[in-house]
Amino acid sequence: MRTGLKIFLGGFLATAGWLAWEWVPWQLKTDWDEEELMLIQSLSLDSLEPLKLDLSNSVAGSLEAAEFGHTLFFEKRLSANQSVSCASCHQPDNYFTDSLPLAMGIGLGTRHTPSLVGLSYSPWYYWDGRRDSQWSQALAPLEAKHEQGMDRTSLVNFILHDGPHLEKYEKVFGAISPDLKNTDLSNSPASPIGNSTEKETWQSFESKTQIEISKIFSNIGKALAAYQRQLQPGGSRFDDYTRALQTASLREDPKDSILNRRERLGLKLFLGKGNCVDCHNGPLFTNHEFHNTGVIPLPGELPPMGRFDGIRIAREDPFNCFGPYSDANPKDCAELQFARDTSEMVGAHKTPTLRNIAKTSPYMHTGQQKSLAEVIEHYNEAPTAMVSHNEAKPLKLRRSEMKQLEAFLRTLSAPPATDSVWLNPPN
Amino acid sequence: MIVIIRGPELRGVMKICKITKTFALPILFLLALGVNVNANDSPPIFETNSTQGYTVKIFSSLNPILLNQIHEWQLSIERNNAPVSGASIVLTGGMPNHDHGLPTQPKITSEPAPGRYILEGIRFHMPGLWEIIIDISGDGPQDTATIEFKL
Repeated sequence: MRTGLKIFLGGFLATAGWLAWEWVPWQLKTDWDEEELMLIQSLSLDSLEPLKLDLSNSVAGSLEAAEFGHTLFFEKRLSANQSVSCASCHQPDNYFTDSLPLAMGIGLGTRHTPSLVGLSYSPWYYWDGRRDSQWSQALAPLEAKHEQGMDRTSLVNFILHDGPHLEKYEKVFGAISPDLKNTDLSNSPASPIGNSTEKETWQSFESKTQIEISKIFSNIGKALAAYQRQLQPGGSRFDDYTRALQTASLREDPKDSILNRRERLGLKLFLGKGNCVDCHNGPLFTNHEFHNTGVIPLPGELPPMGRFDGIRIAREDPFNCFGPYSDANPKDCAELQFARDTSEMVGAHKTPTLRNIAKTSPYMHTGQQKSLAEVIEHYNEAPTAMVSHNEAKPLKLRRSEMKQLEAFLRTLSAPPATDSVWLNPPN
Repeated sequence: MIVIIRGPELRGVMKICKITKTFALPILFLLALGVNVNANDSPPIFETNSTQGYTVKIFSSLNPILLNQIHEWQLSIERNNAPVSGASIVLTGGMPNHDHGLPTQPKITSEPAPGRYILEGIRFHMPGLWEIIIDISGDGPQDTATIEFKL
């Protein structure tokens, strides 16, 4: 045989071997062992405990508060330019996110908008956990200049002088003091976290007035949280499969009636070689915790400190569980009291839910990754983190396995299990 | 001492969960009547001996331990069959295979009875092998007790 032909054949065989290794789905069996079955059931929506009351929010479970929160959620007049509401970024048709890498309110934000579906189960809010309740989180965008850009006093003034909102407010939280009602705040933009003029005006208020305004402000957050608690995930094809496994005499699904073979192989990888279930565990596919997974920051940006800064901000927040506007007994604030704040938290960001993940692109805290394939590629490589260390290790998944994993992730989508009345603007 | 909870045992643990749910109302009723239902009446979830002769028993307010739920432990510490009172106890831990610690910073907050210490703020957030390290220092020799278990 001539040398040229040998080289050609050698190259051909090597290429064919590599392609087969990468693309042929070698793992043929999708039966489950006891441990896998336990894990699968632990991920099922049937394992989701009823949502506990948020003890820092006494109206968290109130339907009237949820209805008031519903109107506030869609209220564009709660923004400086009268055109941005919570629903502008948390869009009901997009699983309460916005399909953008970075949130766009009055201006461009610095973080990707997370979905609100099922979020009320989390003890921490924001990608870096800078807020420890859903109601305290809801307050921040109202005053953030690039989001709704209001000042605290103008916002309260709007509630005081808008008949329908005032009526709803007082129905839930009781009557506002006549003194405050009779105070004209319309020309007094003021907030303790606003610009220098707003801060100056805020300082000119009596302490009693400051507290009263902040109390009404905090109640607005509590109503918004009561509404958001209605937004819970619906059962997906994966959940149907977990139910079938409970009743099936065979633990296989030979007819591919619920999950096809590729999806089942993806589930096996999710539980095993992919290490996904380490952090994406429980019925919401999140441990609500913070991890550094070596996500590369946006070009030109320094890597954020993540949870290391977030927990410090949460502790300083006047609206936290220990704060004067919280309804909790201090003993109910264990998450905040015992939160880890060590250097291990540097660069760590919150584990997002994977429910509806195929419908909520792009991904990561600044929307760096556009597709599920990119995310899986990221975890497969597990690049060195720019700050601290990447907790994830390279997975060494083959191309065919990455496709299987992606196929499984696509089985987690379902419309929210929420009455349609909550998914539309109130009448 | 190493305590490993594996697949079949874990399923047993899940059954206990369901049983606990079934009896939740009667237990609440008993509590309302003032009947003392506490961790002391249940067997410890973990028990270990240190090299210096400390026996550490751990009782959990959440039994079985579930992922992602903050809860309390009660630590019973004895040496030579006598309670070890007034000791300084520091509990740390993590996942040796994942190169990270506990997700919270649990602390001993009280000693309601001699040798009985309340630890608040413990939570586990990942399935797998966990290691708990208990540093004991007081009148007796300083020592460390270690427990490993799988969630």
